[in-house]
Amino acid sequence: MNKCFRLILCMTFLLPLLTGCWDRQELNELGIMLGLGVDKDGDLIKVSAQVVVPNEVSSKSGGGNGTPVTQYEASAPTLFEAIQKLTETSPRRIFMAHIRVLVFGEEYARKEGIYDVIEALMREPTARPDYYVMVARNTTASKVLDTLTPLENLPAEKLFNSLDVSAKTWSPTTTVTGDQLMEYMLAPGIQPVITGVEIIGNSQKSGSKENIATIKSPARLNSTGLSVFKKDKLIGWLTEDESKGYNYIRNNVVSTIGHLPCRKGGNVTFKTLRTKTKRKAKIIKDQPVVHIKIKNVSSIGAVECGVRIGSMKTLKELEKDSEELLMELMEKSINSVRRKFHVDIFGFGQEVYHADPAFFKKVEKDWDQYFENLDVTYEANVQIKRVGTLDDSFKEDLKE
Amino acid sequence: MSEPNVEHQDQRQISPNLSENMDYCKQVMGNSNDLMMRTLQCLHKWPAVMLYIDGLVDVQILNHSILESLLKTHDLPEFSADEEHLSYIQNDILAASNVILVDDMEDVLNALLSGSAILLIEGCVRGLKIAAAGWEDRAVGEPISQTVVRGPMEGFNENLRTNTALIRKRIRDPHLWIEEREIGRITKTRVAVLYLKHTVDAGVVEELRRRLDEIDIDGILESGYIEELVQDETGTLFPTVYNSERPDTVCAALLEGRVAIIVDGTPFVLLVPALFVHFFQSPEDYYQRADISTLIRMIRYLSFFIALLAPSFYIAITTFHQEMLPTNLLISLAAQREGVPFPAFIEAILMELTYEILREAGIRIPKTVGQAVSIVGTLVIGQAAVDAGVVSAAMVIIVSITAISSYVIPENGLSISVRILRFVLMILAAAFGFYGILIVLLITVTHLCSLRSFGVPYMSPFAPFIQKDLKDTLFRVPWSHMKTRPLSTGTPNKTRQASKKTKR
Repeated sequence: MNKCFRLILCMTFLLPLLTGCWDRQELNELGIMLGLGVDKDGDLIKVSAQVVVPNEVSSKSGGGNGTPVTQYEASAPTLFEAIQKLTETSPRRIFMAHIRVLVFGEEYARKEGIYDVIEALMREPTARPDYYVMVARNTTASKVLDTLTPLENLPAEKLFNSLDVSAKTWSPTTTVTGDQLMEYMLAPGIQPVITGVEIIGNSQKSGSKENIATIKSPARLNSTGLSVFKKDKLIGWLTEDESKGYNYIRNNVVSTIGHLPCRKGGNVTFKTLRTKTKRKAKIIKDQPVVHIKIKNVSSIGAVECGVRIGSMKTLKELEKDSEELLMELMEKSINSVRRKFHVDIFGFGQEVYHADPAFFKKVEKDWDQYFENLDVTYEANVQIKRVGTLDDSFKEDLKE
Repeated sequence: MSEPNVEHQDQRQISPNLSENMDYCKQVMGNSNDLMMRTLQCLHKWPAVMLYIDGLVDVQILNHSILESLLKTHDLPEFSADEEHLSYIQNDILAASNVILVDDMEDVLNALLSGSAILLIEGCVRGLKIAAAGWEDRAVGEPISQTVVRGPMEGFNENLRTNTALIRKRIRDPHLWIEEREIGRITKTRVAVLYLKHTVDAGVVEELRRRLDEIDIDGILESGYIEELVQDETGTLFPTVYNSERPDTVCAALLEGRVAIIVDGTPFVLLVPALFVHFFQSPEDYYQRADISTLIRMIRYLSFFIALLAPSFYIAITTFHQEMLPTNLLISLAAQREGVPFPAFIEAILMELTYEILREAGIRIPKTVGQAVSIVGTLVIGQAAVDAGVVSAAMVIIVSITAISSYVIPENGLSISVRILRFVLMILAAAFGFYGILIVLLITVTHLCSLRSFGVPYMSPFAPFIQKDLKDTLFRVPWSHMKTRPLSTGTPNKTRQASKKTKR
């Protein structure tokens, strides 16, 4: 008994040593990939991985000698082959759990379609699907990732944060994460939309330290407009106003700033404090009708014309004008999407499905046809809650 | 057992011949020169000898009250019976608080060695044992191991009688019973069992008596001996007997229906049954307001888990589950680990061992050198190791917070178990990540639930769940709401306060 017990004890103590600690990887054996770019390279996929150089990021060891990130590139027939092939150049294993942004080159998105990459990444258990997806507008993903940025010294982190902030404070941009994107691609009655990112300025030396050595960076990354997808292929870009309308309809706007032309010339600037949009579908006489109701609470930012905002009547007028403006914005956005792209990016199909699943099942196949002729009604309710610290504008009291 | 006559004297009677007795004592004690024999003419009439051990007897008492009264001349009555003069001396002459007749030499020797003086008179086969014990004791001082900001500053000392008196002073109730016995064949250490007759679970006392009686050991030098000999299970990392050097803690435990064991020669008093929750209770919890006590108690539980898990979590996360960290934290940790030549596990073991060595050294190092060691410890090991790139700064933070947290647990016994478990957890975390940690925790919890302290489930009132007892576990409810004693200790006297609420 005692002997047996001792044997078991010995074995338990030795067991942990025998496992060899499977899956164990020390932090300094990992190449943490923050940004993943996908481009077309002939028939192959070209992967650009933005990998952190921890020594350069840390405040302790000074850094400052090299760039905070490095970029490895490899081409292969499939995504994972390409990622694995990165180790040909990278001294460390590429660690995929912390991807912050996934950037598609415009050419790749247009011609190949993003399905393969999304499928592979969603299947991969180590990759967290909470990265933001972007499309490199008029350029390649490799170039976008190869741009050093000031303020946030990790470019991928900069892309992530600036998109995150602007989606919350500026209506033309929106965010889409990997898992959301897959949902949009699969769910019936909606097509995906992805924010674009472009390089402004001279991108000759965007990847060198010179890019952040001057106050005004020669090459800057800028999130711009929304790209429209059909199935998994990019088919075009929305303008800023169309993007605004899209985000209002999709209830993506958190807060933003917009202006309203005065009746007598000049503008009144509005700060949107909160806004909420509801889409509701009804089937009337075998025809779907979508009703969009927007409720918007704003404050006045600036008054450039001589309206007396101290009076309730003017405020009511302003509210009414801005209601009309909002409805017009949404209508224009829908109409131009219908005219140019013929795909339902607004998710009206989903609303119809929610309202009458049986009906939607019948029309699902040629829903885009129905979308073309869909009857959309609008309702807007704008409330001006605050006018700021000034009462009436002092434009008329200015001295000669 | 080479000299059985020393450990077990024969039932030798006191001889009527004085010198025979004196010779016997000398022979048994090997002529030890602290054995004092003062021959005298008792009341100027009977030749007698006063035996005592120098140093155990208060010479003041001996000189002033005992010898003085024996050497006076008295008008003696007639003595008819054989040894009537002995009881005359016992009852009428001796000015001492406790005088008892003894029959045989074994009693004489035992009495001598426990500090009594023995008066033997020529021609008598019985002697007188006179209580005159008195030796140098440490004064009642501040308890060193369990200090409080607010609360009594008295601690027990090494004298059993002083210690029982400190408790009696606080509980003035005849129901406080003290049972005393001698344990240890050679040391014959006095061990007292204290309980409140009407609140204690009779079964626990009975069980304790049985276990104490079973002890057959040559000596008891500290209550730790008793603790190990009476605990329910030896094969556990967790303490199932509580110890304290604070009279107020002991009194509070007695009032809750627990039993105290005082061992002569040590200020540490044992309390049974001891449950897991007791190790998180500090006497101060009850002297401060309930709200702050509750907050502090929760912090104690938190730091228990920090002390237990922090290094193993660090190892598991940095070597297996990097995806769990926020990206920025991961990058900053990765930056710190750049250039560290060891795996995280070796790094952690290195730092933990260094800390344990420093701690052990700190206890033993003379106070005058202590300063130097703390400088070496903090500067060399902390700062220099990081600067040299041997360990990462994050690891130093983890080890420090672990070390500090382990001192938040009020009783040392539990923090010892935490220290041992921490190493087990670190090994398993290095081999299996969170999976390993979870396995150890599961085994630990199962083990804790199977433990008992004197028949009381160790994890009660959590398992088995006793809702009423939660008032003094994770929380400390205000005194006005502590209507009942803890039920888990099995007290028959449950009411602590009249349930009528007084209006103010």
